[in-house]
Amino acid sequence: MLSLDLLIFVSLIYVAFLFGVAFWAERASDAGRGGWMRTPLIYTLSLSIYCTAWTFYGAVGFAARSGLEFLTIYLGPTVVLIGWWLILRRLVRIARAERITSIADLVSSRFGKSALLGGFVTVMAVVGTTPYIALQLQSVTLSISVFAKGTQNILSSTNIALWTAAGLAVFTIVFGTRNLDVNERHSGVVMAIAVEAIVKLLALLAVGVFVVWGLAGGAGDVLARIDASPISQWEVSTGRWIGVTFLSAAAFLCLPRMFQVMVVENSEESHLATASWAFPLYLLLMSLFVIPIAVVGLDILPAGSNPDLFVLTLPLSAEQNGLAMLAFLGGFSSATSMVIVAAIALSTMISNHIVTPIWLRARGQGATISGDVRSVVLTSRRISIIGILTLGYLYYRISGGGAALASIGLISFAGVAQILPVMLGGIFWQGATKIGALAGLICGLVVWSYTMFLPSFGPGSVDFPGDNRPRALGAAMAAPYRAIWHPRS
Amino acid sequence: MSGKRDQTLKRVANAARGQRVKESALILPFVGMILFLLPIMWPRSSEVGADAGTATSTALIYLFIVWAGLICFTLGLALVIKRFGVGRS
Repeated sequence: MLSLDLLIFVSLIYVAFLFGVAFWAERASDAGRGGWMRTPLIYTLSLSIYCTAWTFYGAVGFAARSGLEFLTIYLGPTVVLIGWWLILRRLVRIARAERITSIADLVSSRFGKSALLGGFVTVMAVVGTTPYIALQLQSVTLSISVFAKGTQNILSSTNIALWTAAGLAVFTIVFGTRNLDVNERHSGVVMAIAVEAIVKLLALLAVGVFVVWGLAGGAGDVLARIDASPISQWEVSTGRWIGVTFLSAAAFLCLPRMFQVMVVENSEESHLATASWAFPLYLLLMSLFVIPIAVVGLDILPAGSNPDLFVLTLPLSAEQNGLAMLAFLGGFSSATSMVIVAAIALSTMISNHIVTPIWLRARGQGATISGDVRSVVLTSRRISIIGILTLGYLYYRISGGGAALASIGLISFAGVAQILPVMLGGIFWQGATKIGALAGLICGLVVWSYTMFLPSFGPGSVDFPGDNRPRALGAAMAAPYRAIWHPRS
Repeated sequence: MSGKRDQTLKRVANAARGQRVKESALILPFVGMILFLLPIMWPRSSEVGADAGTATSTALIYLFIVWAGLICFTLGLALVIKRFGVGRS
């Protein structure tokens, strides 16, 4: 078994390495030597922040519970990317022409630069992303707790989550708010997440290869084990298969962090053509070994083991400490890259659509010196980053951190998907109006909050389906939550 | 004269190729969606009995083959688009 001290030591070295990569990339970019960083390969790798700790750990857990249904999370984005000609190309062109800096900016500018719509989309994005950040903190905590088992250590799970959140805030503030760029592009951060993309892919492939050819007897044996496993039968529900595929496609377009890397950080339209096949390939490779890992884990690990952690516990059970360390770094990379980009994207939205308009209004008609705005924007971004991570941490604490990773992820997906109709309406529909857009967003936010977000805080919260209190808005309103939480019931 | 005619023919051929590529790029996501949704029509053992149901391994192989096929097709389209500059206007 690896010692916890060694694990933390290696993680710190890894973080220092990422700081180094980001710093070096920023320097190269400032000196005008950053051309090679704007390549289709780096662009495709940066899209991999779609694969968070949810993919890295949660997909195996999802597969162990619900079989092939986990694939829907990757099939949706695959369809969006192979159909890049239809939506993404248009998004990138509009963003270039109108100098769009975030999804809130896009919605606002498609409806006559409406400050109200921009602010509202920002609030929805922040609320929708909070469970997602909590999910990353939870997965880092869970993975460290595997190594901490049986050792007397001062690190409690809340401590781990708190330190992780604090470390991420520092990284994001240092590299996300170093200066103000009119295009809102961040070479250092993109380079660091590209490196993390490679680490997490290699880690998951290494664990997969070890499980298939090390623990099991090759591909044929794994297929036989699948047929003998509890998930041997194709039992997916039609509604969930269609629903989650659509939801993941919608979230892929609307997640603030995906919009940031896919549209805002895109420097050339031709990069989309490469990503249209290369990113689905990345997703395919990430999911290739999920079912084998789930099935072998169910087979050889003791009953009751948490399937969300099979990626770590399988190498550990075979005393493959080096592989377990690599797997831990892969999971750590998945969690951290997501949080960093999400915090940058959200802080940009908060400063541009909430703080600056209020500040400018409060100042009245007086002359504005650009240096003033600059310092207000940068300060508000730094404070927002701390605020966003604090919210994620609080959600983790309040929700108890006990839920399955996949369920929290789906709640977040459904939250940001509420922006999709307004975004597509703004792009494709001439007759779309500001009032209509606002009405749609408000309805979406209310229904999602009541049926999914609030019940996720657990028993005792508003209309939690598990208790017997009469529900204020009728039993049907609990259906979305139940569908996500208890897919088989 | 023949040089001019050749050029015109080339332009027409290029335009036709561009149109074909564009149409393929537009149709591809819908083809992908149908192929990915197809398995929901397959029999389930809870409905037709354990022997007649679909095995997870069968569905797994089908989905990954479709996925890989779509990736290859998209790669081909991306190469054609890059080479002939479709949609650069």
